[in-house]
Amino acid sequence: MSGTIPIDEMVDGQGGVRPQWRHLLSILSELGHADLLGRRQQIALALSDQTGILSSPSPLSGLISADEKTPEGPVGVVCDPIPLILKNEEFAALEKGVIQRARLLESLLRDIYGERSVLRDHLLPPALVWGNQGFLRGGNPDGGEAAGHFISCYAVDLVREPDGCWRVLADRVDRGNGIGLAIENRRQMARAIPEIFSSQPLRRLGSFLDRWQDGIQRPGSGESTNPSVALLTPGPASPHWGEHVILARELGCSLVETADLTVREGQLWLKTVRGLRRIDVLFIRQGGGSIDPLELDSVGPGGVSGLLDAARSGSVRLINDPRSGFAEALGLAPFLPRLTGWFLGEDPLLETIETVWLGDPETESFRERLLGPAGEQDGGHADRWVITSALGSDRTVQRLSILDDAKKAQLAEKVRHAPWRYVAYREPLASLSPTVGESAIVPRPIVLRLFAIQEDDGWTVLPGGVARVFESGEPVTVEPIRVVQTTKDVWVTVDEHVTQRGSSLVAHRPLAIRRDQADLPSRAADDFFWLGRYLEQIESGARLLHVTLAHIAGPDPSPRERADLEVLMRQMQATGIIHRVSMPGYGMSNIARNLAGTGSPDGYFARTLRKIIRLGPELADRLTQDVRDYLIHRANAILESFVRHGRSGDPTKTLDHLFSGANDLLVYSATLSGFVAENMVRSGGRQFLDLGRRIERASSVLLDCASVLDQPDVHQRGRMEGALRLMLELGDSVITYRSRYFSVVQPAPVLDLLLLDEDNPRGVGFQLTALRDSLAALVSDSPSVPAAQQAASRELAAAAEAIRVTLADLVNMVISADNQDAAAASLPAAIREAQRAVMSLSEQIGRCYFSVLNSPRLVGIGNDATIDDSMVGS
Amino acid sequence: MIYRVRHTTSYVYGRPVELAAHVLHLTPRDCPGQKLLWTSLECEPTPVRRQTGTDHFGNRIVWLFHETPHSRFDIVALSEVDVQFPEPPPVHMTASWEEIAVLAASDPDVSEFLFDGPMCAASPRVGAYVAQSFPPGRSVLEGLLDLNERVFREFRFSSGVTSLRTTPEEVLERREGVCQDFTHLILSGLRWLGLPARYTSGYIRTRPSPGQKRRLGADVSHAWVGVWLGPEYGWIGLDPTNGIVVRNEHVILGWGRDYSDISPVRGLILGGSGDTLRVGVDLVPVEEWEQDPSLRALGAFPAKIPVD
Repeated sequence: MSGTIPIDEMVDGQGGVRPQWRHLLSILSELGHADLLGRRQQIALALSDQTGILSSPSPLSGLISADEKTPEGPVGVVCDPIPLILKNEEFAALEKGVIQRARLLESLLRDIYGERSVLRDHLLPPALVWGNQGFLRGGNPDGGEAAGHFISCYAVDLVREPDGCWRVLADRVDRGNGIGLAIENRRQMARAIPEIFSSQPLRRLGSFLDRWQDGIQRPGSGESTNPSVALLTPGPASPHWGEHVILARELGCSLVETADLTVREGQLWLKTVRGLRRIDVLFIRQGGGSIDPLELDSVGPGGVSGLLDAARSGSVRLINDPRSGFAEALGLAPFLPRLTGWFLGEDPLLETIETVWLGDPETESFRERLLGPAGEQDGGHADRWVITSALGSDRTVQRLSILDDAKKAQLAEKVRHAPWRYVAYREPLASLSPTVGESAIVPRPIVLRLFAIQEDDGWTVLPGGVARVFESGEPVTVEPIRVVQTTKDVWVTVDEHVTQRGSSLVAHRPLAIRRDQADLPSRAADDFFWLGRYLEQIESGARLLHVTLAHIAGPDPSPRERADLEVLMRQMQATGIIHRVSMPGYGMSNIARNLAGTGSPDGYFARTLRKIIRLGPELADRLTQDVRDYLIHRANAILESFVRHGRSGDPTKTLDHLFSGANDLLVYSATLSGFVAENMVRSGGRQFLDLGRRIERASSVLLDCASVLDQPDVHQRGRMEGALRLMLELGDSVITYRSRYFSVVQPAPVLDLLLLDEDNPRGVGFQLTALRDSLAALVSDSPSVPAAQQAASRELAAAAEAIRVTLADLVNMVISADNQDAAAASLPAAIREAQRAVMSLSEQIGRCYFSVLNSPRLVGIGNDATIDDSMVGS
Repeated sequence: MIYRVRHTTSYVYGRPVELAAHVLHLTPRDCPGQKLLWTSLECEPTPVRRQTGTDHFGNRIVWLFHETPHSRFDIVALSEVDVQFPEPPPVHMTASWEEIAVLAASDPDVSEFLFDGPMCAASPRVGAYVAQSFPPGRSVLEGLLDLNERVFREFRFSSGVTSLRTTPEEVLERREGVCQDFTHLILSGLRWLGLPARYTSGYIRTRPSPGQKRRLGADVSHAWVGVWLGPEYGWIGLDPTNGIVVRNEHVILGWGRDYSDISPVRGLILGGSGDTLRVGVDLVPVEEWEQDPSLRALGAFPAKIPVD
């Protein structure tokens, strides 16, 4: 290795700018620094919208919390507006090296899980095989297992060291995150900073993606001609959730968690609202060792029981094979050059950064020099040595230069006891690439991640990638991508003599016709259902607040106004919008004081909005961007203004703020309804969102009606008329009523409109009819839905219809009564009964479609002492 | 010696189990000194999927998958095995334990058993205890026999005081336990010294007390340590619970790094609760079996649960 000064990707060391950067640099300087910062922010926001990950940590504020390191900078996924440029010929060399490395690892895995000739011929020390945490001990069925690739998707981290040579920092096989980010970075860059793309022609990413998608969709050994694909993610809590969302969307596949999957009769299925749906290809984005609790070393019940059995029988293709994690162990690095010759008969094209396996007895003196007290070891460079696990998944590093003597002695003892567990690697001096800093463009160390995919006809490397940007002086390590890290788009230039058309002329195999088989997983249906309920809770709550505020009549209300307010306040309390009426009386200032808590950060509306915001990431892959944007950002904005204006000493101001807040909430809910109606296909998520809304609206109208009729003297004509008007107001049906009956208000027509009329979208009759029809239609149009599910669905539809019939009887009773007022006054108990039936219907829907199953239990390996003690006796 | 072995496992679940997947290690494997003559494994209810194969260590396994609700699960494994494990060599013929450690470290297969399993980690304290049997230069077999004898003498057999979660260090502390505790203890110590050792699961023959009738299902699963004497002599079994070398009173089911690799019935179940488990084993020489009317009456199925 020559030199100790890192290479600069842009300048050549003699003060000149490398040719491929010149044009870009002049465009950047024209833009100016402030503009670049703005573009960076724009990209960051777009990325966070794409992934549903909030760009701000607190739903209560759009601002970044004060303890963030760079208060002005974006949080979350950040993409630097300046790309890393790789010259075509440079990339071509890397491409060859990456493919060779991937082929090598594939061959190594095949051998390790087969003949293990690397052990027989002493090419690899046994410790690096048997101790490797990625070495999975699965079973072998009689008759052998289905053939397939170990690695379908390979990622590799590369650093360019001071001698100008790119070397491998780490192989990423178990999960290999980042392709989604590479694609999304490019897309957002093209949107946010289109000017720079004119600087030069560059390789496009699209054909790689098409090819990949095509390969995944290729029919497996199963009979399915149109394979359905799912991506298994650990869930929104995973640091790579955003990547998973993007990737699932790009590949057009379902994003699932282990609880969504089940293995039946040796095949993998997704639990959907229409019953089980077959999965033919599963992208695994969680650790291989925990993938199947029935086998492997896992001692917990996580994962999908029987998945390995299904994979071995060939009924599902796993990408990558969970056993591939073996190849990530850093201890393998020193042995790879020899293995390249052994397996491939080739010389290695890509080196690994300088790495020493400490289990080799010949490295003992080196080890002692490293671990001995700080001194003049190794010509002054010993401080760049880092010690980490040789055996796999744990990539925690110990940088010797920053360890004090005590810590170093501790480490030395651990290493000396089992040196085979450790490797030492020399921290690379990574090349620098221009990056937008806070006040200027600054050179920053970068690590390049490239991606390769394997099809039956060989490997393809993505002509692009992701560059990770490190802080100045921050060591580049083998540790995985951090949650918050700046990344760069990676450009591969096109040779001037080869026009861009050339690359698109490459003949592709005809693409298989794909059809979206996006059946809604039960878990997502559950989320949509609750989103619908929360939105409707917001709407009915806001309407109640709105009507209440409109009824405030000044300092001295009349008895009739007083009676209305009493009903309204009682209803607000019952709903949970206000906690208790602390100030008796219905004068304006008292009312204002009683309502002041409505806008508090822990009040009804804030809590419900937060529940909505929390559902955002879960549903990120199923909502269009417009809906997502509005759903989350607008909710955040309303929350913020609520908190800012909620409490005010001046009653007039308080009421004004509440009035505008109630309006905001009504508009929020109505706008989302519009978005959903215009943007979402009717089946799937939207249907469950609708079900949720219908349930909630039916319930709230019934409660309102019961509550309004439940007041003293309501059977008297004067009071009844006021109650009926209030009912129409709360049911948002005043205009409809007036258009039919003008100003005459009588119980039967009002109750008919609110409880029975199937055409009034605000009434209960409409909701119940819609519930009935939707539930009946949910499964009937699919022949593959199990009979039990169909029967259950019909039962639910019947339950909705039964509630409707009950209400019809009540209204008919009022219509035919001699004294309608008295008949109406006797209804509250029956109406409340109907409301309880609606809630019970909601629970039945949950049980039928969301099937929250108990978690499975692992038996026979000591988790259940009472059982296992009798397993082994003497 | 030809044995017939019948191993019954019966779960009764308090609530129905909706889904179940099991991996069974209930079929004796072939290995030097042991030959499986025939075997059958039946279960009730009938599984929706059944697959046979071998595990990573070459032990015979059966996968069973159940997908309809059931409140009972019965397995009967019946096998006939010819066993005659060779007599160990004279102690002075085996190499020193240090040489064995070096040989093991480079052996492509034996080396696996130098490494920890999920349940049983090499421990310095247990290592120190075991090391007393291995002064420098001692022949490996001499050391191993001494260790086996020490554990047999110094530890009390006592069931119910330990569980599968008990660590070798705790066993060392208590000086009591059952066969898998003694086995884990020795594994942990030998591996600390760099000697290979494997957890061996199987059965040991018991004889009814003189004058007593044989009680059906009264035998039990057993565990002992497999140790390696070098490429020439290979593996032998040491039974620290009984202080003996495995010859022709034991039948091997299989082996692994520790218990978790070779649990007889490992499963994942959905549903159930308040489960009860009964296990019964009969290990009897074939001629004796054929002459005992009650054994002959057993048949393969249904599982007749022994009454305690």
